[in-house]
Amino acid sequence: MSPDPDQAEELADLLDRRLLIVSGKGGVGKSTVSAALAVAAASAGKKTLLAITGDPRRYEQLFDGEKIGYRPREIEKNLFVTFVTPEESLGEYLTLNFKFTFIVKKLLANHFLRIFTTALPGSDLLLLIGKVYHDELKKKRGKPLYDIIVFDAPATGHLLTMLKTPANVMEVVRLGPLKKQGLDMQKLLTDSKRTGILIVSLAEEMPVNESIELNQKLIKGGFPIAAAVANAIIEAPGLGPEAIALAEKGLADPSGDCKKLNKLIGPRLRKALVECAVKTGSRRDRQRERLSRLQKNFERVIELPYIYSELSRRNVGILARRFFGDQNEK
Amino acid sequence: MSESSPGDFSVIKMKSNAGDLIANKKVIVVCGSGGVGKTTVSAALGLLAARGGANSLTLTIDPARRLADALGLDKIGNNPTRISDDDIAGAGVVETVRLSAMMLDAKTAWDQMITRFAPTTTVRDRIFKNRLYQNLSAAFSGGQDYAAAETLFNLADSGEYDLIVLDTPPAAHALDFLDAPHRLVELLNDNMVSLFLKPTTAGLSIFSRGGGAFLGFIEKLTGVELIRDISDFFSAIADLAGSFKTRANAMVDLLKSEDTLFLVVSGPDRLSINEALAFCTKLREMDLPFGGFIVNRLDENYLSDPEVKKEYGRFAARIGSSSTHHDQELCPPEVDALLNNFSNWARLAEVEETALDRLRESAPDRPIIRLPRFAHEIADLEGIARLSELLDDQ
Repeated sequence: MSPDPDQAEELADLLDRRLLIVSGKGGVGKSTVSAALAVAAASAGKKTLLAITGDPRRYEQLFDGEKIGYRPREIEKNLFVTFVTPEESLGEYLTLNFKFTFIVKKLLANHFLRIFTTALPGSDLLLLIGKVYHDELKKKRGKPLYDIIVFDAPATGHLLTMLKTPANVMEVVRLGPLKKQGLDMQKLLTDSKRTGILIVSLAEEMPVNESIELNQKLIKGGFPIAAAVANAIIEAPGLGPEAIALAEKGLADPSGDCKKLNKLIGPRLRKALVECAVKTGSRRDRQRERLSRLQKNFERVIELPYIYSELSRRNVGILARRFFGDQNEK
Repeated sequence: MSESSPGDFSVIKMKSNAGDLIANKKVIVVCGSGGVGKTTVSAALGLLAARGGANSLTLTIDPARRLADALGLDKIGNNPTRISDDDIAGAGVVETVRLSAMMLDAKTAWDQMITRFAPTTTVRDRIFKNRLYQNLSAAFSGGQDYAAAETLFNLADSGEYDLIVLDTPPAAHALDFLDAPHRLVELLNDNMVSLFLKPTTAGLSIFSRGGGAFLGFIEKLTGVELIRDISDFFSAIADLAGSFKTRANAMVDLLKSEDTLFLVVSGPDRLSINEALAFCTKLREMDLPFGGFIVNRLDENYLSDPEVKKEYGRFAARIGSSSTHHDQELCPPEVDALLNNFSNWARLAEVEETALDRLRESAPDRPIIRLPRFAHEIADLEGIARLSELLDDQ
């Protein structure tokens, strides 16, 4: 199946932005979706920075063992990956703005961070956004270092806090370079031309509820939602109830079209085949009900298919192609 | 039969039912990454213990709203609520049980803690009025962890419950919650803190050049009020540092005792399993009593039936493992769809079994409790009751 032109246009709109923030609760497949989105961007010719929080080992597995550290590293053509932490971000900030020695800087970053985060709630999250923001600004010879940043944000509960942090901190901060930067960060985060938020969900009741709630809060806060991503969608083409009934009949018929096959399939397997198909069908139907709720609440819903094998770079590639509407699994 | 002591991984009689595992324990700590179903498993463990006669309490941190409603949880007050006999009976549980649940209220937990440890009401009020303190418990993520540890400790200490099941906070890093008591103590003892209290004190000579610029940097950054707030907070809290430290030590003792057990919940996929293994390693490093794994939402494995497995093996050997059987012109498309579908799920089950093998390898003397994926997510007491039966039926 060739790429879908409508979907390709939607993707182009997504990739025209500078910052894509991928959010979602634990367990919905945020890392996988972020990786797939980054691969899609890179393959569309965009110089992409995938900025991750949480455990880098997940990504090391998704990229077949590539090591991920704090320094952005080009792991594939056009695809850079970096692991963002508040400590490293603060250390970098101190380096850029103050002339401390390396040791003092390291100690300050680690010690001060604890006090800083106690004093200014959400400031660890602010540092994450700040780092990403500075990366967005980075230029080499007048050109931006990256065309697009895909940011795998911390799990949903904190997203809103994180996005509001620049505004909140600005209430506390009086003046100086941080104030201006904070205001610029706020502008970036609320600018739908430059930023887009993707909310990853499963087609299950609780994740869908939470995604819809988050969407409403984000809209209220003036943050630009680009799309919902419904992950792990069971497609099971050709597995409707009539088809299953027909198949069951066919398999039981010793003289029909399937007789060669039937010799190979014993009775127990036949029963299991049908049971499995029926269960899959119901699961898919329930998912479609949840999906339609998502579709009612989001302007754009991107569906990513269930992966039945190991999470690996190959599967990330299959998902990446889905952003283009390409259902080819080869 | 003797209980193994923490860190002793000699072979013990394998208790594979959750009921046996948790019998005679006072505290069960349920660990795992976000999204694996810790909260429902914690509630099910609490119910299981209650069915065994224990007066049990499940302490949750961040339950989904439907589940919170089902358990009758109210965010305010940091107090346990007993689940009514009617609700229990309505969920299909025949035994009379004493089951309570509670949602952590970090702010209240902190206020209670400060009240308990402040030497005078003046000190207490000074802390309560401080802007830094007001923000601390709500947003400082370590603050929530610490509040959870403190709440657990109080409840265990009170002796009111036979068993407390703690659903740990979702954390990016394994077991942040366990580090919380000592991290707080460290923070209070931090050299950097003295910098705020007495900026010109000696003993910080390596910082003395940087120290001045450092404070100047903070002032420029944030304004003078904040420095004052921080200074005021730390000097007020200094009076409590000793009590925090004693408390932190007592908490660690509780967590390491024979009465406590840590269980690690995982999903069936390789990413979750990797994280579960990391939890287990960290527990061992910290010398904490690890009880076993609970693998949740396992997909049905049709090949676990040996007959089916044999027939499928024969079939696959003849046809090959290609997923497009129809190309072979053996059968109509609807049969092909059935075959494709089955081979997808069979492949997935194989992947999941391989992942489980890794758990077995890492802890051969600890049980792996398996829980299936349900058709509908568990969001009510009936679902939890079903889960509690499965926990014990291994």
